[in-house]
Amino acid sequence: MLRLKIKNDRKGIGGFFFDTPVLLLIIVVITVFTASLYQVYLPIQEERKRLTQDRTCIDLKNTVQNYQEILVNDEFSMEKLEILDEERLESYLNLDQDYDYNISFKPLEGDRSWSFGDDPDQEENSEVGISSYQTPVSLVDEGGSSHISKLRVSVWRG
Amino acid sequence: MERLNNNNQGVLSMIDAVLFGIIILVVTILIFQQFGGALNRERDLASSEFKREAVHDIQNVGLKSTIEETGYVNLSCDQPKQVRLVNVSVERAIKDYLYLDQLSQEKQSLSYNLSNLEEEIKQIYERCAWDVSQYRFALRSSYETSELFLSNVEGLDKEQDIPLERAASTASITLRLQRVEVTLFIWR
Repeated sequence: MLRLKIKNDRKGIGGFFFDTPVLLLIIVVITVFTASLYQVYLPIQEERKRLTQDRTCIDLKNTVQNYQEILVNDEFSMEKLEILDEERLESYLNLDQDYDYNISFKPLEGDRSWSFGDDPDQEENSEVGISSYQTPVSLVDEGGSSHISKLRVSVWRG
Repeated sequence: MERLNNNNQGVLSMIDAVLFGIIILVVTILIFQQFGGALNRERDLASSEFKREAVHDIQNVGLKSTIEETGYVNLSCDQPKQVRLVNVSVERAIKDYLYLDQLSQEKQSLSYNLSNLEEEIKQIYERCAWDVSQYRFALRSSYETSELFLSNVEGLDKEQDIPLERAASTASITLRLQRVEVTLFIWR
């Protein structure tokens, strides 16, 4: 009903000066709408990337926890970590090319630590930052004693 | 020069534009709400997934960890007798605690001071949960009528007091042919 009226609104045509405010209003509305959509879209995309990165980090942690080359009776071996070949580790991890990673082991006591992959502190970081997961693991020393240690897995977009 | 006849029906186009603006505003708000809600749900899901992984890891390492030296005091004899336990797993320490506590409840003549054993178990979980991952924790296990409940939160002494935003992992151990559950709760 309303549409019909507007269509036949010949008397309402006031010329250019009358249409301009309407046109401007519509332009403003569309601009605001597009801008707000863009404002929503950007953080959502960023958050999605971060969540994907977080999941990659968890998956990487699980992969490391199942790497038999560095395990002895389901515990990480210091002896094996000492001689671990980084290239073999990298091919075993099979991480997406888009990501860089760092894996480190550090017993709660003592100064020894092992780190593999890239250095996260050196990175000029990507827009979604670094995803890190730190978990306790058991490290067996050369004498067979177990030590509670930190396993830290970090992932970021290279 | 003829003046244009400005009939008030012409205002309809302005009303239409305003209406359009209002509809767009409502649509924008709806989109914000939908995306915001979906994003929050995803974030919560990821956070609980992290927590689930963490509680599983802490439970695994905690139970397998070794206590270098611990013990308990046997108060059943005339002279209290210190019993030393060397290089025992946390799992074994939990079993000893539950069994001795059960024994002292069953037989009036038997009495043990198990505080040292309890403290050592707590320290191992404290190191795994708090020192490494900054989680608060509570551990509960029971065998017949004896119960072990410990936490790194002062004053927390029953499961009902644990915050609802928690993750839990239950491991089964065997004590005198009975299945005993050890449940670990973590939260921030």
